[in-house]
Amino acid sequence: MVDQFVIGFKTQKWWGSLAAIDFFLGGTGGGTFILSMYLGLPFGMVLGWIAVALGAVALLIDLGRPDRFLRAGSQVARSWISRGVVFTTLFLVFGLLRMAPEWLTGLAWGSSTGLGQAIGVVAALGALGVMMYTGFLLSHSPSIPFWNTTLLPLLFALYGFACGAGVLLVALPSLGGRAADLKSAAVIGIALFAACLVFLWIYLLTMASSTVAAKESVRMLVRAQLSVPFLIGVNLVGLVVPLVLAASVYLADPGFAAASPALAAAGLLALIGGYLFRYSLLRAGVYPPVIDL
Amino acid sequence: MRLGMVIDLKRCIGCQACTVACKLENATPPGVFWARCLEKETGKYPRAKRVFVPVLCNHCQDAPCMRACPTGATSQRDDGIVAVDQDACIGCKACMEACPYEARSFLEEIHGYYPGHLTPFEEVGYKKHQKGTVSKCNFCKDRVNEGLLPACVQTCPAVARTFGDLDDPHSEVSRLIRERHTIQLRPEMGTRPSIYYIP
Repeated sequence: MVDQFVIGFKTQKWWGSLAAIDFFLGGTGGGTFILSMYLGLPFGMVLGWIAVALGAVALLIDLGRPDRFLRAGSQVARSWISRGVVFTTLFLVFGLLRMAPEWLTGLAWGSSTGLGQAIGVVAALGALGVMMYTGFLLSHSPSIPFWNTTLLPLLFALYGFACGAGVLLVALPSLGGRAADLKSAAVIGIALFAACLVFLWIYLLTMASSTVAAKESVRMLVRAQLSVPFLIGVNLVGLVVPLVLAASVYLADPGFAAASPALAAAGLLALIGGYLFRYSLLRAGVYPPVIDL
Repeated sequence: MRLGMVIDLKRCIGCQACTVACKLENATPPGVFWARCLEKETGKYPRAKRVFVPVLCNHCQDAPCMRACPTGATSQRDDGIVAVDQDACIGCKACMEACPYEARSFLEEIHGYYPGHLTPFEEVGYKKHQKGTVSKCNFCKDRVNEGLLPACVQTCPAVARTFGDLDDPHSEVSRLIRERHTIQLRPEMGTRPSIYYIP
């Protein structure tokens, strides 16, 4: 309570593990769904859909008044949370419709018909919206300089796709995936893990030469209380090791059965890193002092 | 009409009377402070000094909390007061993340100051507050509606606070802003606060 009466840097404390879970599941689910749709993997689309639905449940649990959640979509013109509700609803509905022909017969649309493809496009746009809206939510407000950048929604989108690739690397062997699918997922994963690593450090370096509060956030991540989850969890475990593992397996080209365990490990580590990325980012949100003295 | 406040930091003595007056007027639960006085020690012995800065909701003209609110629970009256409708709030805390002034409080639990029971004052006063929602200073809008001053302004023994219509060039607040050097908190954030400080 003393902290409330002192002028100084303050870390945000209201969005923590539960919000990180919501951001992670939403982003990962959206990425999994889009990649699965592109690769023609129905079970992957199901996993993506379930992840987004669970993310929505996490968001509901985090609300102070979840009984009033229906109100959350009423300010689409100005609120990113309202827009997120729209994207999530759009995705859950159209995602279900897109997946339906994979399991049901007699529908008026199929996965390759014009109507089915249009439904797929809407579902994909919804998924992309789910992946990115949390980045816009954080970047929209000027109050936390570390978040106030257009780089953040792009980083969230990249991470969504990277974690989606991680899910496919873990799940494909169990879901009857073919060697070609696993190879495609590995190539996509390698590209995305590398892109995330580069983009993450571009973001950090940009923020390190930004305002004092943003510099304080970067300091927390690389030298202070968040350095372990960030440097080891997000970077080493979540990006470098999966990248090296996936690239080594791909280059060695040992065949599907031999490659699966190593690629699954890469995917799992990427998912752990993906969650820790959102967690670290939220914990590193710092408000500048209300007045300069 | 745009209601606002000028706070003279040279007059503020950091007595926290405003903090207590706000608590009494609005019956805020433990841990919730709609108005409070921040302090910071600057300089070194023998020239160290403590600076006191009273803070409250700035009732910004371009309020980031309003833009963030997904339900419209946060809205702005014609007189500029930004208020929270607790019946509409879903407790997402987006407004708290958006506010640069630490002006909002989340009512995670509502309990009394004394263990085991609520005082008669708390039993009546806590009816205004809903668990799981966000609350903040509303310039004592019920008092303002009656033509009274906000409790913090009324109480300040150092007469550090002046309240009035910023759109009225003849008001005391407008005169102070015109004649004295004033600053605002975090002007670079573009919120256009209605609270001015005389440093």
